[in-house]
Amino acid sequence: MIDKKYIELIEKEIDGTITPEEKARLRKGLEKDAEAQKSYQEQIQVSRLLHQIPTIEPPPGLKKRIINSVNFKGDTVKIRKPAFRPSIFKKFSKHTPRLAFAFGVGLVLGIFLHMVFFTDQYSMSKSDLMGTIGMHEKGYFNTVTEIPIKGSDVKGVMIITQYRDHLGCEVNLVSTGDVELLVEFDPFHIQFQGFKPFSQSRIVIENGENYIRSSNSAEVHFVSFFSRMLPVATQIEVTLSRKGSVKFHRKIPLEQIEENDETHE
Amino acid sequence: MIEHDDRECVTQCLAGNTEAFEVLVERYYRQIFNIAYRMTNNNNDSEDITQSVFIKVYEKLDMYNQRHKFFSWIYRIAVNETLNHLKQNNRIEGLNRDYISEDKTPDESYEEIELSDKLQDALMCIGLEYKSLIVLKHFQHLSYREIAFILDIPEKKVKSRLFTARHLLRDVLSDRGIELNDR
Repeated sequence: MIDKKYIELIEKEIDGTITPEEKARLRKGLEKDAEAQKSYQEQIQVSRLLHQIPTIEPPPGLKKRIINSVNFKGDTVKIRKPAFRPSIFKKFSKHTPRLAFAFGVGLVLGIFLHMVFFTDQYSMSKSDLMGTIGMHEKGYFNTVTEIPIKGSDVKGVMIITQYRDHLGCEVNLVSTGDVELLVEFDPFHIQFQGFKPFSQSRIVIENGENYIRSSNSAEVHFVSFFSRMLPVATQIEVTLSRKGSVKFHRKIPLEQIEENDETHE
Repeated sequence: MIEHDDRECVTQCLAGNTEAFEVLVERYYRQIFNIAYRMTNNNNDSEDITQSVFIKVYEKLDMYNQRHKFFSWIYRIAVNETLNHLKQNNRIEGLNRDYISEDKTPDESYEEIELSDKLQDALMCIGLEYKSLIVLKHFQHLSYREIAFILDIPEKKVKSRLFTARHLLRDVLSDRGIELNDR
């Protein structure tokens, strides 16, 4: 096989673009290599032969046929849609029954999962929850007050926690039916910030200007967070009722914190 | 200059001037027919291919990138259209002698027709990738760079494949008793 370095030079010779120096180099190389010399001759001869071949004249009427076949009035020259679209639709259309089946199964499964894990969790009214909840460096709030609730139809515990200018109101209750928890506060000094459920039970939260009302199902465990303006917020008021009947009511005093108090333990 | 005219024609076509497209047809339909013919060896197929090439050109005119030469772009469409056609239909027919052009004496014409016939037959014996290179280089007289663009292969590969293509063609011609030395 001829050396690749000669191919370039032979192509240049065929093209007529070879320089005298290159031509001399080619000749010198071919003199030493009989096989290369033979290939060179073949290439030149075939090229000469090909250049003798006449152009084929198209049949008469072809031009007219072409012009007539182009739909100048149709949707030819225009801004075209991306070429991949039809192929995508084509690809999908082949699998339409399978896709429809898969979509249906996915939909049913999605509804089922939603019913199991989400529907019975909680819902909000009046406002969205937002804000930043500060956490103690050890990962928990300090307990201010822990209130056991013991009634004939509702039992559990309510824990008021505090970390500097943040408050938590954790409720863990079991009742024979729906209960309503009302936390009232001075809106000038305390603001509702957030809510975190710990159970899968249904909870409806209503956020008013100076209160949070949560309606719970039979078993509930959640925590509400509040921020308070230092240092004047002094208390929150908690009311637990069932079917309009007050089961528990208490004003819970908050620890007084100085503005420069960094380590409230 | 022609390239400038081509781009101007394209611009006018896109603006709705159908006469500008007719200018492009007039300018290139012979070359497209020749490319198709040399690769298919069939007159009817070549006519069909030429027609469909121009339909595609018109439909895709807004996608033409004016950084490239127009003839490179249209040749690219022509080669692809021909290759697609050949993949679908594998017909091989002899050269229609009525279509040989140029004003030649009867002897000259006969000799050329005979040579053209044999060469065309030989051309049909080599692979498509080599055939298209021979057609673009030796019948359309394009540069290596232009061929590289049309066939979408590196320029170096164009040269090495052309070398192989001529070698293969020479072998076929030798097998058929065509002596090249005296040509």
